[in-house]
Amino acid sequence: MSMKSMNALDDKICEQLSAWMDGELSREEAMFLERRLQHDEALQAMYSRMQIASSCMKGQSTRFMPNTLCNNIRLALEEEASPKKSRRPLFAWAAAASLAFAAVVFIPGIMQSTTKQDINLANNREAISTPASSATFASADLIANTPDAVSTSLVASTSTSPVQPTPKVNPSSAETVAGVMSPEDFPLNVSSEKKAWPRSPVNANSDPALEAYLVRHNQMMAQDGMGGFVPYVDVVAQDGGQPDKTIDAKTSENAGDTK
Amino acid sequence: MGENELDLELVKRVQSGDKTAFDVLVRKYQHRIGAVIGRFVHDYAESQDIAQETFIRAYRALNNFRGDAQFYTWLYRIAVNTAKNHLVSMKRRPPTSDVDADDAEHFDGAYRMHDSDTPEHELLREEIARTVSEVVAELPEELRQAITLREMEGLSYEEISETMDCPIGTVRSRIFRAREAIDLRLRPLMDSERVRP
Repeated sequence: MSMKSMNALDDKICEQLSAWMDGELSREEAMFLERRLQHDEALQAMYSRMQIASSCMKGQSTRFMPNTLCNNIRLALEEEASPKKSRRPLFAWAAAASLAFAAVVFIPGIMQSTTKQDINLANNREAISTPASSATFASADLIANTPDAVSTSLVASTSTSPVQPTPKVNPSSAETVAGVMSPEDFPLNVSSEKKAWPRSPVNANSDPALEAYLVRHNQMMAQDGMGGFVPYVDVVAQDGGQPDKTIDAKTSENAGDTK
Repeated sequence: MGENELDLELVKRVQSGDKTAFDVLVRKYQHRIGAVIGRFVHDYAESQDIAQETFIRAYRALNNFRGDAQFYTWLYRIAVNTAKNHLVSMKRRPPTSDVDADDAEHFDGAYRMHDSDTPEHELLREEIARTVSEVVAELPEELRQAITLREMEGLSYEEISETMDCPIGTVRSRIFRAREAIDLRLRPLMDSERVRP
């Protein structure tokens, strides 16, 4: 601080400072002095010295703090306040943009998957809840098309089983699945079509139409990756009034095969 | 207007959004708060950081200040807590006993309350106190009486004018001239680099 700036303080201001310290300045004068005190370093230094002297006379202990302390506090408070004002909208926009992006990218996929799942679940329920008078699932035909296939029951196969091989969905069939709403409209797999259905007839009285529906349903779900039945398992239906002993025999036989 | 009323008015101004008023409060109490913190933290730079944190905390909490207690007492508590928290965060043990703000102003004997500072600062403090005493003793009678009634007895200008049987303006002028005389002698001491570690 230069002596020039010190001398620039006139007696009137200094006297006002002294009276202001004692709370003896009028409101208008006080406001004026406080504004000046904010910017006038010489006045700030004088105020500090007068405070120290006052504390000494009162017997109060003091520790001289630099004049920069007040400025540092003001800057810290301004910094604390400014990010809230300036960055809040930025954060809001960034968050909104991210959400919008996520919505555009992910939601259609999720919706499609959910729709397919819903369709499959609905079909599953529809198939399972088919009246016994027409047909019931007595069992799955457990003849495996692959050597490593395992025997399983129909109930177990309606849920995704850990031993179930992950069905591979080829793009063309996936498109077909996406466009088909009912197993009745689902085009039967060509390779499967060549085989006689059911490949292992268990009941002569079974309804071919229902069996064909179930086979389409099974293939549709298998291609969707959300299959309820094991994809490589043939599905047969039979009249609910006639328990089929042949199936039990076949199941036992297949179980024996896998041993 | 007494000191408490003055502070309360400044607080109200801060509460209504006048940041200049908070600067005034900082300037008014920074040295006394510095002394309070100095009783917990010896390092000068560290005590400045804690003083800054104290005032920032006070600013944040100022809307809750209703004026039931004196502003300085309230500020004192914040300073003590901030200093203690600082010591805990630095894994240093804060003092277990505490002293009220009013007592702390004059409590200098106990070890815990002793302001441990660098020898240089301790010397400077002693030099300042000695200089102030010398100047007051050398002042003309009317100036010495006016400044003594104000600083040591805490009388208002009106009360001093009645005691000294002179106009308030004269009291104001006498007090200022006494302070100016002290300031002239303190200036070389406090402008020196010794007060800036």
